Amino acid sequence: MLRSVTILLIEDDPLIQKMYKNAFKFEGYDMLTANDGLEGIELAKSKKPSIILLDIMMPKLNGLDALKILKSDPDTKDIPVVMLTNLADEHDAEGALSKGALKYIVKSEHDPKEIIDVVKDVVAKNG
Amino acid sequence: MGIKIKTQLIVLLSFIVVFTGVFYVARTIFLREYLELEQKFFLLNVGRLESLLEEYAIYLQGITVDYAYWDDSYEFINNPTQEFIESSLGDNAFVSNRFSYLLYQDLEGDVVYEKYFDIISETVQTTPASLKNEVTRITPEETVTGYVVVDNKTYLISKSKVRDSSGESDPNGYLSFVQLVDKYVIDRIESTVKYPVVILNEFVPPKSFETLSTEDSVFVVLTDNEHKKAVLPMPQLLASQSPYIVLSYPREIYQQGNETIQAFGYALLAIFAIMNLPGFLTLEYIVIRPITRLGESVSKITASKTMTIRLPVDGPNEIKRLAHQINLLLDQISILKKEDESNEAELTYNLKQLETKNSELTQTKQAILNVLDDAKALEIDLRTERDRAQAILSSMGEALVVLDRSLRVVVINPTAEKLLGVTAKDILGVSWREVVSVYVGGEIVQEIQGSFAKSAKSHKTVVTRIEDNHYYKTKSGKFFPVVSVTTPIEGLGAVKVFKDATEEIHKRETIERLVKERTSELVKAKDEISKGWIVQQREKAKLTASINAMDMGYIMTDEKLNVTLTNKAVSQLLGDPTKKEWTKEELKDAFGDQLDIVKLLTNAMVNKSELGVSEVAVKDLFLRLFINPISMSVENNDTIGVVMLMEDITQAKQLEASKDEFFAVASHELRTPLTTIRGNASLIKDHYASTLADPIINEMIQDIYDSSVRLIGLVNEYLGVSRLEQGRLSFSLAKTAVKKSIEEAVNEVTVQAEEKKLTLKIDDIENDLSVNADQSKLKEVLINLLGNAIKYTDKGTVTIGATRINDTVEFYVTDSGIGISPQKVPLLFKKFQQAGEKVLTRDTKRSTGLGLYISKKLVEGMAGSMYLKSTEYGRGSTFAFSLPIVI
Repeated sequence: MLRSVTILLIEDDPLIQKMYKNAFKFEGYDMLTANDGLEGIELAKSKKPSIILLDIMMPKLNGLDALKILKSDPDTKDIPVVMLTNLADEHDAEGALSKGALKYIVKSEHDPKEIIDVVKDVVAKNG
Repeated sequence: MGIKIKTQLIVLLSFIVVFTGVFYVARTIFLREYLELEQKFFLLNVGRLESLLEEYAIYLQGITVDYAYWDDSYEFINNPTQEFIESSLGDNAFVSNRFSYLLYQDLEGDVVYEKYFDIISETVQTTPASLKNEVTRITPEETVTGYVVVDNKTYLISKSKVRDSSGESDPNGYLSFVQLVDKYVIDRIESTVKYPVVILNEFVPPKSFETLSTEDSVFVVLTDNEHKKAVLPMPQLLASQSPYIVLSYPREIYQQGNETIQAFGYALLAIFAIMNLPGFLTLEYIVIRPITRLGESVSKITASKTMTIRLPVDGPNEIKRLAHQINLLLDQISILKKEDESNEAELTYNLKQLETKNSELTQTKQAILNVLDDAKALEIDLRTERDRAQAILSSMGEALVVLDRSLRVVVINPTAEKLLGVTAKDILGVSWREVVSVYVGGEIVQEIQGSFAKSAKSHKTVVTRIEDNHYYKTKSGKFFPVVSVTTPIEGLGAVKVFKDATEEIHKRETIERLVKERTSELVKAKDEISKGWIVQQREKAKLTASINAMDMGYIMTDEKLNVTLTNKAVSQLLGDPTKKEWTKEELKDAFGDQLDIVKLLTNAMVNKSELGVSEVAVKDLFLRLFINPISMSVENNDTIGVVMLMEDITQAKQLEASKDEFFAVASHELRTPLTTIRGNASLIKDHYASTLADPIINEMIQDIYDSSVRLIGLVNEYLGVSRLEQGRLSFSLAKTAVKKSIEEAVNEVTVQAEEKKLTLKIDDIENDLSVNADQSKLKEVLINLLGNAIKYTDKGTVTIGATRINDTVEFYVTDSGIGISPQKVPLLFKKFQQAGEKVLTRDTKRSTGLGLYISKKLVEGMAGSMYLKSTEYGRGSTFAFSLPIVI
């Protein structure tokens, strides 16, 4: 039932990308990936994913700016965004949550399956 | 509720219950019989209707077969002639048989001859296409008959193969006869079955319905109070849609049954009523009435309060006896009451006498008490006055004596006793000259020339000063200078207040000597100042040069904060490099709204204390300020001005900021590869553990996973420390519930404790206890303390709790672990120290040792303090910290 869910991961590190892609594949989910903020916004607009996982430190357009654009565009403003980053600074977290991110998750503190649980939870609530 | 109503109710209720029961049982039994009877007749009529419909069909089929097996018909299909129709199937034949339609077809089904006849107007008309289609379509094996709906009309159709009369030849076609089932037919049916019928072209049964079956068909029964309706399908023709016929059977039998039952009910009601009436009347007249009467009489007696009325003695035996007994009782009460009344009158009289006497006595007593009170008040006033005078005399620092007109001592205060070395008891009434001898300038003075005598004579106050050189010599030989004031008391004598003047004389001598010394010093100093001025000028030049060479800004003011000296750096730092001199107002403007510099300097002046401002932004620079008041010298700390130093800390701040950014980026870059290691190890564990044959590989992967998690922890702690040390951590302090914070922290470490089989215990905590803290940081500290306690404990219990101590709340975590050796205690809260072991033999499972350091800093950031509360090496420790309470 959840298998028709589309997840968009915006993340510049190829190894992290690969890891999450594999992790979600084990659970039967397809995952779209974008390598930077600009590419991420394009994909979000064209594919209308069910949820966006968004990194912060990225080339071209960083995650916080990308979040601001996603949340101000009527096409994408209703897509739930979960920040998935390795920046553990409280100011970044508060900034992201005030700009409309649903959650702020520090990658290194969680196993991939915990991220999957969060995604399931968010999709079920927004579904 | 009276007994009468109760009885009536009970009788009525039992009557209703019995009647209802009997009626319903009877009704059920009777009605069942009637319903069975009704059903029997209903089925009989349905059967009659069915056979009637069948009969019509059989009749038409008979006619059809007759014509079809007739040689002329056989001939007619081969050679259709008008003569045959006119002779055998003319209009008369149609009218008498009520035929609507005749159709001859050959074996292929093509029409050989057809005729449609309207029996009402008795004319031949064009065949309706749908009827023709329906009839043409039917291909019987031999002969078929049935009812059909076409164009909302019901027809009875019969169709047969046409053969010659021998019946042995092959058929050469088909013959069909059709009758319209019209009102005429329905009237005939109704007159036969005696009940109304209706034909329906189609029928949809309601949601709930009952079905019944006869030998021939199954039909639907619809029942209401008036009718029982049978809806049956009419005999069908092959697969055509057949119409339904509805028979309305009036429920006369059922209604008759109901009426009978009703009549039975009324009869039953009448019988019950008649049977109950005598019993009811008996109860009413023999029991209830007498009892009610008795009750009313007793109430009357009670209401009148006279004991003269007696109850009527009648009614049944029991009630008669009761009334008699009550009357006897009333007689006795009357006798007793009379005795009481006479006693009471006597008592009342005596009591009144007593009361009068008592009130007289009370008045007398009050008058005496008033007089006593006045006397007492007067005595208290006097005593107070005396005590006050005594107190003034006793507390006086000066000696005081009062002499009468014969110059004998009347009063002496404790100071005078002490000074003269006597006691009041010994000298009261003794002549003053026997107590002291008076000397002026070394010569003894006669009594007649003394102050008392002078004062008494002149009626004026006499004052003796130090200059007058008065001395007293006491009996014990004590000799001392005296100053005194003597005032006459008209008609009594005089009072003298006096004092030992030894100390004052000494002070005066000292001052005189000092004045002499200072004067000679001043004369000397005047000479030296003219020499020293040249030296001072040289020193000042040196000082100015070194001040000007400083990087720091240097500002000196006088005691009115007017700027007396600045160096070049001041102009550089305040953003106006060419400016030579600064005034107080210009300085104030230079610092702008950021900081009221004049107020700050004033504070330093007034409070005579050093002040510092760690950081202030002026133009593009960040400055640090040090302010010092200038004192005259070490002995004399009167402030004569202020010195302010300004240090440029812009570069240091930039360095700090870039260091901070470096830490953020570095920890991010470290975490990213660690995330991949941790994540992939976790995925292998979750998804491939079962496929790996060798358990060692699983173990290795677990080790990789554990190590990466630990390394992530390390990175986090280092970053935490760097933030703490830069003071970059911001605290959002708010009212935080103690109990909830502790419970959340305990939740986080439950798994850890379970792994080591330790008991985690929360002591009782007051429900509404709250502290001023940053909720997440408080939790971090609690988790850290709990985590440490679990780590260093191998068995037993870890206890956490919090109690109020004055204006703070103390949180504590107690373990039953290894404890801390005395030499390690001082290292506890230092960076990178683990009290449990030496650096080189660190247990790899344990942390960086930064935890306690971080926790202490966090607590201090929330205006609290952390400490080791108690420890016993080998038995366990208690760590505690306190935070300000919020009420």
